Amino acid sequence: MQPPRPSTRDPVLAIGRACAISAALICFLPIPLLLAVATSDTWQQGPWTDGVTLRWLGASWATVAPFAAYSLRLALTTLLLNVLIGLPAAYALARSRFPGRPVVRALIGLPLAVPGIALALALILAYPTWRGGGWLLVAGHVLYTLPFFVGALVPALAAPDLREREAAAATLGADPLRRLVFVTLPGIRTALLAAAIIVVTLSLGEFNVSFFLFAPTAKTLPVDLYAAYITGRLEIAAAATVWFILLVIPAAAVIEYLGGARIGQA
Amino acid sequence: MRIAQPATLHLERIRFAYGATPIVKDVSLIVEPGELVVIVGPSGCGKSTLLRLVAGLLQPQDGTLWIDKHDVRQLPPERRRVGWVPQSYALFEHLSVAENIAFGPRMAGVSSAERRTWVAELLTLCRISELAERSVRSLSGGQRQRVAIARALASRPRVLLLDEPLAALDPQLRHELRARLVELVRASGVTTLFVTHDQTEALAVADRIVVLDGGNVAQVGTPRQLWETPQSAFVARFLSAAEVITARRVGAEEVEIMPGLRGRISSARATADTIALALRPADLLWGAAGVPAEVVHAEYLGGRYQLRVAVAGGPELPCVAYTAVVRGAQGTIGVHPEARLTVVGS
Repeated sequence: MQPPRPSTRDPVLAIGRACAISAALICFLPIPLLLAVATSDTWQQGPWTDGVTLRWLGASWATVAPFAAYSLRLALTTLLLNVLIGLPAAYALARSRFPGRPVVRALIGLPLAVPGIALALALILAYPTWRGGGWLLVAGHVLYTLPFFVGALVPALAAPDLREREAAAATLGADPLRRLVFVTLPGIRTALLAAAIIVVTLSLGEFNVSFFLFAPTAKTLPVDLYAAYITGRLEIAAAATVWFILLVIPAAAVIEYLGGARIGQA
Repeated sequence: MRIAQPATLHLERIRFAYGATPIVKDVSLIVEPGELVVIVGPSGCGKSTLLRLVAGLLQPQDGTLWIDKHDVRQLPPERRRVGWVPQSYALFEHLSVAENIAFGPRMAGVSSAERRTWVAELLTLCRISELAERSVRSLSGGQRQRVAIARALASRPRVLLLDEPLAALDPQLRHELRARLVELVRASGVTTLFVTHDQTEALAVADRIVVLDGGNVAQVGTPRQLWETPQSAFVARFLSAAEVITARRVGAEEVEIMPGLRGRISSARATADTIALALRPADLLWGAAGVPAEVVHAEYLGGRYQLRVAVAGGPELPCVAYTAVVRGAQGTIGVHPEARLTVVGS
């Protein structure tokens, strides 16, 4: 006998579906709107009254480009530091039962619970002289992203089948370093790639910490976008936002492809 | 093709505990060059742990471990030259079959040309040449097993450790692959420790069997020795699903299980008046002259029935029937006229 199929008139299902569709629309709607604003000559007179223009996109690119470049550099520096700090930390958390392990785990996860503003202010108070060179901004981004990076790697590193493969490699003559290079790292490459993309995406879009910690020579794209909306023409701000979205979308798409829903779980 | 220089493996008074839980209590064993020794025991008896101790993946708290008279306790696993095939096979999922097999030689610094020849030989030996370029992800259970063994043999191990190598396979495949596995291990000539929880498998493949019970060696011997002269009730029950009962000696070769139920033993064994017997299903025959009994449970095994029968005033006994029997049937049981009953203990 066939199990009964859920009826399309099931009220709970219908309400759920309606909610999902509206949520998707509400999230998606601003994007075409943004494009419309960015490509209209004067938005107050209605969309595309004088036809489509690429003037604003062109003009904003000139101002956005250096900040975009800085944001990318910052994101990559943040990623590098995550790998240098987070990978060994994740390894230690996954593999050894050292005293104080729960404390370390909690400390690494703590920035998740602390608002960005608090994080930024704490950094300013603790290291006032670091602010000028932009290193405080780097520190803020590393603190903010590290919990996600470590959280994505710990389960992969703790997987029993990976440890069994490392043991097999040992009996085949691989010393600890070569086990790491030939077995462990290839074994966690999907998790590592996902963690890296999460870090880059979070860093590119981060605003709270960046807003408090930026310096004239070290300013991120979201902070500049904020300035554009406060001080400039709406059309230019919209055009800058379009560039920003184009920068972030590829990374987000890769996360989705890798099964982003699973990756976030620690 | 000889793959390894067969080595002697010598364990003496090996002891290992996880925290306060003793796993291996006191194990001594000598495995001769080229010998296939099966370690068998119920789950949790310490058999997999013993393999990890030999491989160097765990360190014993006590005892010594020699391979060919070299004390290997201080050697890390990568320098012991002990091939280890875990139950999961632990293949490198990101590599092809040939790359998996070449892993050991690569770590040993063997040139790529030599590696290719060597891998080709192992692929032939294990009859998986057609799989060489396949990703290990696409392999079946039986194929994975052969790759894992080929990979372990590729490092020219002095000792090969197989942890339940057949457990992950379908029952239909298990029997066929068991014969091929033994043939392969024999052809390689390597000294082998083979772990299983399956007593039929142990009896079928072993030169000698080690029965482990709660981290101790219960008995070591050839399959025939263990079957015919079990030293304890545990060994008799574990290896042959026997019912161990007490019998009274009534003659040089005759014992009485209960009034009316008598059978023969080999006289060389038992000297005491009261002896322990391991009764196996084939020892007692349904319908033979003996004592009245009632069938409690019947299983058809093809050509015969395996029964458990209740005897008035006695224990439940295993029994075999060659005629159709159902549960609740009344009849008689007697000792099979051909049977030589097994005496437990020395």
